[in-house]
Amino acid sequence: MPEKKHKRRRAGHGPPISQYLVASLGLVIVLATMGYLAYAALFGDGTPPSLQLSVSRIEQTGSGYRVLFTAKNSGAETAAAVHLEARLLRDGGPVEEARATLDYVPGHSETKGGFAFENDPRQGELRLEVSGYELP
Amino acid sequence: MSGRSRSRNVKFWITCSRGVGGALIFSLPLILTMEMWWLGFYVEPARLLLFLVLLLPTLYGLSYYSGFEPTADWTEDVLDALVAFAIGIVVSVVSLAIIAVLRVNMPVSELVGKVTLMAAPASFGAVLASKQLGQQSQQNRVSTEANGYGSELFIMAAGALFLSFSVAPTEEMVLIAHMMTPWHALLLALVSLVVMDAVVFGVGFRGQVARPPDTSFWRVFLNFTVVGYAIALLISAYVLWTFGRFEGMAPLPALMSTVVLAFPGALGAAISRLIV
Repeated sequence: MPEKKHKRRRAGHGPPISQYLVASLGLVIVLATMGYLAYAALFGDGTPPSLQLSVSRIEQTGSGYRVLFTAKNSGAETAAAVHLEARLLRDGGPVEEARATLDYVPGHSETKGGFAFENDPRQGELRLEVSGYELP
Repeated sequence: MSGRSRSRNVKFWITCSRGVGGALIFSLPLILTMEMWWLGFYVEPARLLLFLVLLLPTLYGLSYYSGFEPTADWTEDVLDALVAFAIGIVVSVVSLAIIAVLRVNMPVSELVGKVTLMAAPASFGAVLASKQLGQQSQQNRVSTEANGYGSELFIMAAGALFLSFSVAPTEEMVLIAHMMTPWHALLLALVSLVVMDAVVFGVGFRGQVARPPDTSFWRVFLNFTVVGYAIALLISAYVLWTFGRFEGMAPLPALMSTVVLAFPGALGAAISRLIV
């Protein structure tokens, strides 16, 4: 410390401009973070999870088919341990079922996953549904 | 081999062994964490590469300021950084293989991912080993005070990186952010700032910095604590991004996980100013 003070005094002026710039940038980052959190705390919607599933792609694999899907949460709260079911129907009758579990689907966010099928899900009707979730 | 060069070689190997000790101390908690093994197969190769590219200059800087060995010029610091990285790799390979996490029939990409991620904390430990565990005299240290503000910021960034990296892989970081409300996150951000200031100036740890008498509280708070916390936030966001934690996340949950991770990060930033 004494060294630094000595140096500063000899130089005859305060901290350099770059230090002011960095300090201001730091202040902006911290204030923006806190400001955004405060805004979300005061005006954010505390809506429960609301999940929508959509198929993004169906691919043929070595032993069958995979259905890649996106789970979108339009609520504000996070859904955890989300259990999903996919049912393949042909001529009104069930052909095959597949299940998947997603660890988390955060609020206003999306998570991707996949179902594995033996039969071609492109032939027939594919129904995706959420069977349940947990609030962390 | 002359007697003198032999004794210098012996000294080098002793320093290396100390580096191995440091590497083990710093990386064992992560080596024994299963999320850390899983990261090996889902971290994106490009992000892993970027992380390694940034790790080497960080090791160089740490070597410069704290010292693997007392150094005379910059080439020695480069060598030291590389030696520390090599020690980190060797320590990760050996420890992961011993606990049967690494197996010969694994795909190369998975092996590389696991080992390089683990090598980061291990090589940090190796660099800091001689400083923390050795009998280095005070004169050999390059004083960060003499190097000014930039070096203080670097040291804080390195400390934040180390601590946030150590907890980022765990499932709990994600879970905590999901359990919190924005109020909790806001309070945590305030607590982080207070704790940072207390660690560096307030509570009298060894190596504590005295608040310069001729400067105001707010000036020091702004220049070091606030900037240090901003650095901890940026580093935490970077670490989370590297581990792919932001995939599909909206800004609010992403920011909240960043604030959660920046709490250990801020502590790391504050403590490193005292120990490095």
